[in-house]
Amino acid sequence: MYLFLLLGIASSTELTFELEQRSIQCFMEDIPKGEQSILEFQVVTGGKLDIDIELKDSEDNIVYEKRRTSYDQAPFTAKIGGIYKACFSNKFSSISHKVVFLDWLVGDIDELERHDLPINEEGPLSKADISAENVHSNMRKVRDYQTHHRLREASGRSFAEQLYTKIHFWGFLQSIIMVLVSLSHVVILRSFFQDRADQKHRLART
Amino acid sequence: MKIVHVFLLLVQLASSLFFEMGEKETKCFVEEIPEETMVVGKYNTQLFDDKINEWQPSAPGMGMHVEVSDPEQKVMLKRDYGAEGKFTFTAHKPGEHQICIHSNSTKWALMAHEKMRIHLDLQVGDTAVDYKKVASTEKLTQLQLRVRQLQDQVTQIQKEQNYQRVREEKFRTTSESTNSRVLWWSFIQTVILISAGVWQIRHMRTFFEAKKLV
Repeated sequence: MYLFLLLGIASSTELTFELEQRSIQCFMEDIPKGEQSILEFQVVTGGKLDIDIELKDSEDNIVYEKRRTSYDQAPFTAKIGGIYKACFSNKFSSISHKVVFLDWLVGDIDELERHDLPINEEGPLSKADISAENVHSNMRKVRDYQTHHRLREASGRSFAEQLYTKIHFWGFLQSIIMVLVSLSHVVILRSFFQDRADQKHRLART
Repeated sequence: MKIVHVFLLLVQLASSLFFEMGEKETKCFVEEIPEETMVVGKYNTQLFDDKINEWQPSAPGMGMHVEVSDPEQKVMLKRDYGAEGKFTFTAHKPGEHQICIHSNSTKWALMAHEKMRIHLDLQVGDTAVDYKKVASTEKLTQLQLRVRQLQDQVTQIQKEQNYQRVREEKFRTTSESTNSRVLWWSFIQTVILISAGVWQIRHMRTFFEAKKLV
């Protein structure tokens, strides 16, 4: 039982959350002293794909901090135990609503992999076991890369969609502006000559 | 056995990500997943106890409302769970699924708490499968179980790849459409510009001739 307790600590959480304009979202994780951890985040859609991030330990010391970043990976070791708090802030943006992906891994990744199956009590591992385990861990990496790729594709796609609507509106607006400008040119120019022509008439009459 | 159980619970609490939520707040999470993918969400809640100045597991009376909507904004799952819960759904359409949770605040208001902590764990695809359970129900050996897991992993990767292809196609269609629109707009605009110029000149000439300015 005790063994399971120790091993149970390794955890990885992937979340994609929405962040409204002018808001802050914090996530917390209880990390034991000396444990390794990796905090990874990526802004998927919204604005210039940037965000402020701040990671604090249980005594409010800043462990990691970055401003206006779109993607980063922050590995750190817990110097003190307790609750670590990662805050994502969109305070600087008053219009763009953002979607952020977060992956917080606590503990050793290998431990996590090895023990998502019941612990083998049948004795030493066979070659097949070991190779299966390797395939499993490689497959996990494939998944990770895939996730990355997916997120980048998502942000690229959302950019393309924005571009599409922008082009659409701008094109339309510009055509209208062009017609209006050419019409107003004529009207204004006519009004200039109208005055002079009237004056001439008046002069001729007097 | 009870002590063991408590310990397990503690581990579970300690090892998952959590966040704080206000009484009337709703938190939404997005999962972009391929079709026929299972998602398992587990949560438990804690409230701050003023008397002992500590976070305590919340009373069973407190409920959480979970709502899942599919990529077409149709509600797939809408249920009330207790202070601790587990919800499962399988995506039938590929795309962005939104998972929103909020507390049923009527009961909560009586307790006069301001913030609550929610420990949330969302697992997608093969990671959502509890292999310990599979092992005990299907009586598989360690290696068989591992192979089973590998199979699930490969299937999930394949599904993801198929979905990726669909999305890539959508992306490309958008880009191509943007391209053709830019081309057409620039063409139309040139036509407008030239015709406006010609019209202006002709109009002004007839105007000046009428006014006997030229």
